[in-house]
Amino acid sequence: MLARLSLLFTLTLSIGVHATAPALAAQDQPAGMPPRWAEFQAQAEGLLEPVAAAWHRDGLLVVAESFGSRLAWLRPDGTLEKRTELRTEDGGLVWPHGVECLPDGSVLVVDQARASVLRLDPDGTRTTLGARVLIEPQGVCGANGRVWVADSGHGRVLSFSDDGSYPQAYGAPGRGKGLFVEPVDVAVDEAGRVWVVDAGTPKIACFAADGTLLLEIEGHGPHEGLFARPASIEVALGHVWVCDRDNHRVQCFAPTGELVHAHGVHALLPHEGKGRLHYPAGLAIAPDGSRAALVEPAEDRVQFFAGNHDEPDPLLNLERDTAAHVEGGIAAGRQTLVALEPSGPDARLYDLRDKEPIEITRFLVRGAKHGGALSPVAVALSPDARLAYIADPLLSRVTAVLVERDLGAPLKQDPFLPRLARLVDLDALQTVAGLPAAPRPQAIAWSEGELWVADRRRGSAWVLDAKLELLREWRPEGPRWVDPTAIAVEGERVWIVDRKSRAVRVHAQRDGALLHEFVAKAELGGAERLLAPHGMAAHADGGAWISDEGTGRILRLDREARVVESIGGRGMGRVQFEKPQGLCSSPDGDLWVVERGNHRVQRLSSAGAYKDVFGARLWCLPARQESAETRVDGGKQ
Amino acid sequence: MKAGVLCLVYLTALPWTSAGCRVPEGRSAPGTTVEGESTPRADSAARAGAPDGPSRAAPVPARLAPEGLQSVATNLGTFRVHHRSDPATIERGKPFRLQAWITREGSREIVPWAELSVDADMPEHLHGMNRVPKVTRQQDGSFLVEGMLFHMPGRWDLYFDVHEAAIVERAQVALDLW
Repeated sequence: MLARLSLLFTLTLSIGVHATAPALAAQDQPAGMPPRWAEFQAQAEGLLEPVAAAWHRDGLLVVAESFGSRLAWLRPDGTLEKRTELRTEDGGLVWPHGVECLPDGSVLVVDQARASVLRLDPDGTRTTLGARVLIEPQGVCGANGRVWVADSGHGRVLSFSDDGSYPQAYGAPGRGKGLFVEPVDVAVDEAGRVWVVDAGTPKIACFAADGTLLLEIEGHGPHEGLFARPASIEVALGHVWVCDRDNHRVQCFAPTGELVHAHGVHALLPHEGKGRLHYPAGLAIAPDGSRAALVEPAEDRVQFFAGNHDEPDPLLNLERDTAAHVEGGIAAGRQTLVALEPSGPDARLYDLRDKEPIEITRFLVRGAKHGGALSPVAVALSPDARLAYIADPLLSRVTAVLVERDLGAPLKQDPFLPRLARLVDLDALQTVAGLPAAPRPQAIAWSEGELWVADRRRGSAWVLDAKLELLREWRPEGPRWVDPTAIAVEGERVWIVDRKSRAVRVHAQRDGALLHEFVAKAELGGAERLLAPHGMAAHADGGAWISDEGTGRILRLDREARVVESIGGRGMGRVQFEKPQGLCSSPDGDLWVVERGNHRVQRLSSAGAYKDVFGARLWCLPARQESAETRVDGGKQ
Repeated sequence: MKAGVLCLVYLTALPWTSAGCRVPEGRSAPGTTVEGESTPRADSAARAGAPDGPSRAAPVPARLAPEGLQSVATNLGTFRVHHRSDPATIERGKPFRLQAWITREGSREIVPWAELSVDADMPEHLHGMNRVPKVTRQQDGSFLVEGMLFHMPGRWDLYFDVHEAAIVERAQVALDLW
């Protein structure tokens, strides 16, 4: 949103702030200290993965709901005014991400399913911008007759005219000054300076309108002035505001890069709100500066705050741990379970000999060095559970970690147990194979001595041997993948979950032919409803279990990808799931479900009945305390 | 050895193991072996491959890893890293250098296209060194690693990462520093 950075400031450098000539000039000072968004006013709940918001000229807050393929128009008291369903001309479902409101009443929405920007004019006209030039776009901003998009897949920000012409790029992929690992949002101030937030590095960067880098603020961590997976950026009230998602806070910077303040109270109780924050990803400050809305995808919620200048109670923020909770992939093998915590990041290895999994070690550190990770999202285990393979799309890397242990030995925690065995940097393929961009390994599966790695960007799978040597590329027929979050190879069949296409497809391994598919359609309801499929685990009958983050259900599909069973639903009880992601089956046939929204993993029998839960204690309590007599049917619908 | 300045040794019995060194409890380093009987003389050995002194001594044929070094197999057994330190006794807070040769497992021929990077961590403490070592290839096919320093007491895992095109395979040696 266009900000009011009306005047300039004295340039002051501090630790972690890098200014590049020509530096920001010093002219004026803001009228006063900017407020903290700390006075809770209202919250809107029950949204479907809200990811971004912007204030419309008519005073409503426009919220992009990714899983719902729609926009919610909220009043400042949090009540719903109306909804706008987002469909393409042919009725396809849009996957909205960034959103922006223009002064003429138009709304810009990033469509990640088609890697483009949808412009919705007040008269109902819909125009697609940026098609075929963007890869994995995220945040969007409009000002002065131009559109800026965080073109994340290209590691840059792309600006073009309202009609899509005259593109100009800011930044390039990589690590270092002026380079981006994962630019996720962009904002432009009144002076025409372009502010970019990069979740991968993490950092914020400021460019002059001509593309000259002016300033960077960089660093990962929990302390003030550092970031943990920052998700959005805004310029307003003469300052720069960053939604520091995994630190559960908002940070405010002067245009010179000085930290003004950081605020936000981390929610600790399950689904706690009303002023407490839980992974805020979007921030929208009202044009008059009177209030701000904070978007929390993990809670399907938007909170509204007024500003104040009160000093926060330091005791409220003692808990500021960036190490988070289970997300993404999970893998089980012989007496072994590996779960991922991408926001740490780390991988946790559990022993399964007891009723409840017992954590015995962790591996991965944050960073690009060997043994490090930026976004570990998928894991696979070799059949003997000696090797754990981790896919990291931001590093374009697959890492193999050796876990040699005596399964009969007494249990103990052992930090020395994991040993980096091998890694392959798939971005080397960009040069060797002449690929237009570095691969993004996002899903991974082991099958008969081969490791299948689904490449989000390439729309194909790289087949590696156990030592990560490239054997071949496998290309599926049919629609191109947008966001493959799970892959499984069962005999001659390859299963793919394509999250942002809301599809599950079965291909022939031999030639990639499309055999069966289950694709969500807007009009389908009941068991056929599929909002955000994510994980997959093979079923003994040749079919597969599929998790749906949007409905909180686990679907069982038969060999022809038809729904034969649906269990669960949203909630915290037994066989209830909040944003279920990774699935896996252990050798005993049990099904393990990672719940991003409940910070826990549930263990179900092969029939879908509750067996156990582990993870964050308070989040596990409702399932543990529930009477064993309830939901013994596995919560089937 | 001075009191309070104990030495750093490899997990298995090494030629330069000194009194006062402690073998960490628990796991040994799989694949770690000692080649030959002689104790390497770290000063001359390091000079042999150093940029400022390669002409004074060229102790090994360029295509063969020298005898008498410590060696460790990479974790998947593809390569073997032969190495020695200068000084032979590594002390806490004192900089040291390494010299390393890379062969395929079962061979003594140096892999000419392999590259090496070196790092170290303290897994119990979730951190590594506070400096970045510099690795340079020498004329005899070895690698000289400069700028190593272990600043804390406790167990260190020393990593030799062998690069072959896009693949990296790690060899590691556990060390106790007191």
